[in-house]
Amino acid sequence: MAGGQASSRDEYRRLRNHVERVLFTKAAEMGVSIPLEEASDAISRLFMVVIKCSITGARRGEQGKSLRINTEVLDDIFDYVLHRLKDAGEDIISQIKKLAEELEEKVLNRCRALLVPKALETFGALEGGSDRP
Amino acid sequence: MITRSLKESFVKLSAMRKVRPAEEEVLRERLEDRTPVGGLGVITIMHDDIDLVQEILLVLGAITEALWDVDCPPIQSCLVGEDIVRELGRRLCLLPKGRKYKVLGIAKNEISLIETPYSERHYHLVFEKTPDVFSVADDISDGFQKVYGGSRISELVLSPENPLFHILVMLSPYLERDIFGLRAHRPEVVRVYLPLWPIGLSSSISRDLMFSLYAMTNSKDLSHTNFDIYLLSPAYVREADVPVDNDLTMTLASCLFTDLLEKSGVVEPAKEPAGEQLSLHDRDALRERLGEEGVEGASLAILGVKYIPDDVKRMRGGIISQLSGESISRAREDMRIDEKHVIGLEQAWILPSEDDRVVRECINQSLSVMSKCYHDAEFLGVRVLVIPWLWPMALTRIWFKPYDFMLSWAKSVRISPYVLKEVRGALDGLRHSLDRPGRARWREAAEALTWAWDRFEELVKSEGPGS
Repeated sequence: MAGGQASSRDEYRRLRNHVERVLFTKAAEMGVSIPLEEASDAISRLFMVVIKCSITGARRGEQGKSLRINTEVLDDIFDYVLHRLKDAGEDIISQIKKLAEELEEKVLNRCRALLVPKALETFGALEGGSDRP
Repeated sequence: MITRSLKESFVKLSAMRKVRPAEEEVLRERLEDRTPVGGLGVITIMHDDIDLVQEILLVLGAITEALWDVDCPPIQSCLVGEDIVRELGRRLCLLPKGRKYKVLGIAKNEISLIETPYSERHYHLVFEKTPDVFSVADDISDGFQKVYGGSRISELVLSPENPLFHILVMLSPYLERDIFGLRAHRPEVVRVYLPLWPIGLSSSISRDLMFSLYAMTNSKDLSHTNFDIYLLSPAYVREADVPVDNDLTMTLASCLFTDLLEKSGVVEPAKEPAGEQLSLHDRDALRERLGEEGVEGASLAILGVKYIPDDVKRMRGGIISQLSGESISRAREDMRIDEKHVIGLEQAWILPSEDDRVVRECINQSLSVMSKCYHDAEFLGVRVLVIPWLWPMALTRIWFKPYDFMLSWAKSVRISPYVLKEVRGALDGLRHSLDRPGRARWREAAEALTWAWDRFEELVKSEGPGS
């Protein structure tokens, strides 16, 4: 593995890819269509909030990982999000925006920021070093 | 609202999870192998303070975050109260899952919500304004059974100022649904935590709380010998050398989690416990002794926790001895329990890993400190439990004679004859209301309540100031 910057990028991508895979699998299972092109900004924001909400510390001895995705929390959040989007009708973009705000306030700030403060700090550092656009 | 200090505690708990001794692997395996299908047990929180309820859920969430990938059923939490569904939903995201909910962001904890009517803060008003108080108790037990089926309430957090909640415990032997498992072949100990906040013990407004305690402990018809009631001091302590604040939330969450692990056998005492364990096993002698003191219902104890500031592996005898004494002091804080009323003491050390020397010293020093503090205590017990997900602590339970404790209380407060009469009048009204068809099965319960009130009134009248 290359230096700090490259490993941050790999770690960040690993986490993002995992969450993305779960989202699209679940959305397909539930028959929810996510309008990626029309709602790219809103989806992007929601996606980042969901990742942050499900970040947790890696277990000792898990080589090359500083963080993991708490898949139980991730599954719950996607169930919540997709159920809300399923009933959104044509108003899906504003629903996505509302969901991002709600999750940020109630799940990220009120809950996960207390439960996994160190992991979120580490993720913040990865995000900064990930060269993401 | 999460206090600044509690936020700091969360950071420390989170950092602690990175330290994963070999013992943790053993516990994770045991959780997978030994957790019953229905989960470790049901924690029921009957408290009106939504902040406290929310904080307990969050601290439990912080503790169990390390367990999200363990293949075992989640902790079950049943929240009971007025408006609790609406208020919790306003603050946190709740995901409905059948009859239960998940709090988004918290793994390994499923909650259920049972809404109750508003409760007056005094018995006479409850009996006057909620004449169907027995039906409310039945509704709660029906609601519980619908969600949990055969699972029982294992741990209970009670508000000190909600008589409606106390009534549920008092009516436990009469409930159609045996939600506490009292009619089981071998009833399990039900641990009831009663944080003495916002009511203290030293004022006349504690009359109703004292009556609850009197009825639950002295009457075999109200409550049960398998209930342990723990009084927790509301005193808040912040110590410079301890990163975890000693407050009700942290104490409650730590104790609830420890109890669940211990009851299910996931955590076993390290080495041989010394003396009597008192808590779950070898209770017969303690119960027999309490019976001699007229305790036919629940046992009553005070509970205190002292968090361990230093690196646990470096603890020597002197420090252990000091911590043991401070843990006893925390239990006694503001409680005014006379030394001669104490029957038994139990100390449980919660440590992150098993170190032979430390375990041995904790047991020896604790026994020595406890016997010095209470020369006449007939039962002493110490055990060490290894639980790497909790902040290390020394937990003390002190059992005492409830009747003597209440006599001391009655001597220290002034209660006017009028406020005694108003409860008597309300109880008479309650009994008359049972003459209606379909209410006959509650007559015995109402008689037991009236009997307990008569005895309690005698106690207050005989010992009140100026008597």
